[in-house]
Amino acid sequence: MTSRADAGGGERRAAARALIDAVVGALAPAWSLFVSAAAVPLLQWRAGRSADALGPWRAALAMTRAAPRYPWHLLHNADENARLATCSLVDRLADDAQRLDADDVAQGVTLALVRRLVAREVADAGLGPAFQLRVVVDADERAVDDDDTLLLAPVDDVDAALAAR
Amino acid sequence: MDSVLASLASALTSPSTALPWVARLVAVAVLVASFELVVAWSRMVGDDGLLPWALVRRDHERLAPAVRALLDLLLGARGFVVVVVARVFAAVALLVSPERAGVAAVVAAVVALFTSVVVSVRFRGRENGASDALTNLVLLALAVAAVARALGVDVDGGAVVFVAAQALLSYVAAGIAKLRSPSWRRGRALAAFVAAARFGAPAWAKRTLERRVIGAVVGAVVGFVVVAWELASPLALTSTTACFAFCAAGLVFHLANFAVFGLNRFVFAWLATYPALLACAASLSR
Repeated sequence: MTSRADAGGGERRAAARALIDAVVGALAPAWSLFVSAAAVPLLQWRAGRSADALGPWRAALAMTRAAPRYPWHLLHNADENARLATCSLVDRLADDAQRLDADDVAQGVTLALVRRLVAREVADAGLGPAFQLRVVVDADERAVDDDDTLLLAPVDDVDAALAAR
Repeated sequence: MDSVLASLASALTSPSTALPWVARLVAVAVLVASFELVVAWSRMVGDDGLLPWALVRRDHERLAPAVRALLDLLLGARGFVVVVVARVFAAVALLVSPERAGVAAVVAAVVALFTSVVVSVRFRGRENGASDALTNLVLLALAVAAVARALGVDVDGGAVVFVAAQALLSYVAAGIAKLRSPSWRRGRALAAFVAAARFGAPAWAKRTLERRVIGAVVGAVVGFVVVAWELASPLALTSTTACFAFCAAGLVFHLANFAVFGLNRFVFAWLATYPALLACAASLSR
């Protein structure tokens, strides 16, 4: 009984900490901007009809498809800032993968959000229903190896990912 | 030259005249961010968007019921519309009438701060990262100054120093972080960022930095200048001339970041701090 109460208190404290982190994050940024391109997380996915028939890894377009840039985008750049918000979400998943237990990452909101994002891209590409996502550090032109992989999610289903609540 | 700049500085840069300029410029930053959110609403916070509330609220499901109810009220579909509309009205008030005193000024500044922090929480702490955080810090200074003024206490000078300090801190910290990075020290960082698909640099920038000799020279020189300029930013406080030169270079720097990396919000967020920097430089030069 006591241990269940302790666990509940711990979860509540963790939830409160997440909210406080969000507020603090809104007011206390890390100014380490544009430090190393090689350390930047990149989201990739592969898809196929089943877990045994997944195609090649490809970069998530939501992260990498930058719109053409014009001078008036100085005052209004909604598309690019939506893309940057996607990049921030993937950065957060990379942070979670390095900071949290695998179970916490698997059950976390960040992975659920990224699963939906990838599932929609897979569906838009007419692929699936099976897909898998991973987060890697930007490997530039060379092939990604195990050391570059920050997170490899289990094979997933497009409909299940889109229905996640 | 120095006397011209000094007279311009004195017109713009006492704390009481600098703070309204900070307010006007940060209001532009808030309006730009707000309208971008409105245009991308369904993609960003709609039920089928990047951050649907039905999923994001799971972050808070272990909190006390009263806190969850408050968050549902503010961050759920209807409540969040009200938050963003209130943010726009507060920003317009700061833009058109930044010198206003009394309750109206307190309401505008506090609502702008509160709604901006709520938007950041809706985006789980980071939407556009550093630019939103700096905007929130500037709004915090304006809100504290407005509340203090309404209570008969003048802390405008403190608010100006706080905003200027945040600007300098951001530049120096970014410069130190870059200096510690081997790729920046070797002059290769800029080319790597421009080449990376993630940063969406335009073709002309990629072509320039991919050229064997010219690309290497441009990357190394621009990288060196950026790090040196960021680390030297406190020198902006040594005179009004130095501060004007620093701010002009800063404007070029942020416009270049917009042109290459698309970071339009950074332009207005940092521009909003420049009247505070000028006020501090003018004050220290007297």
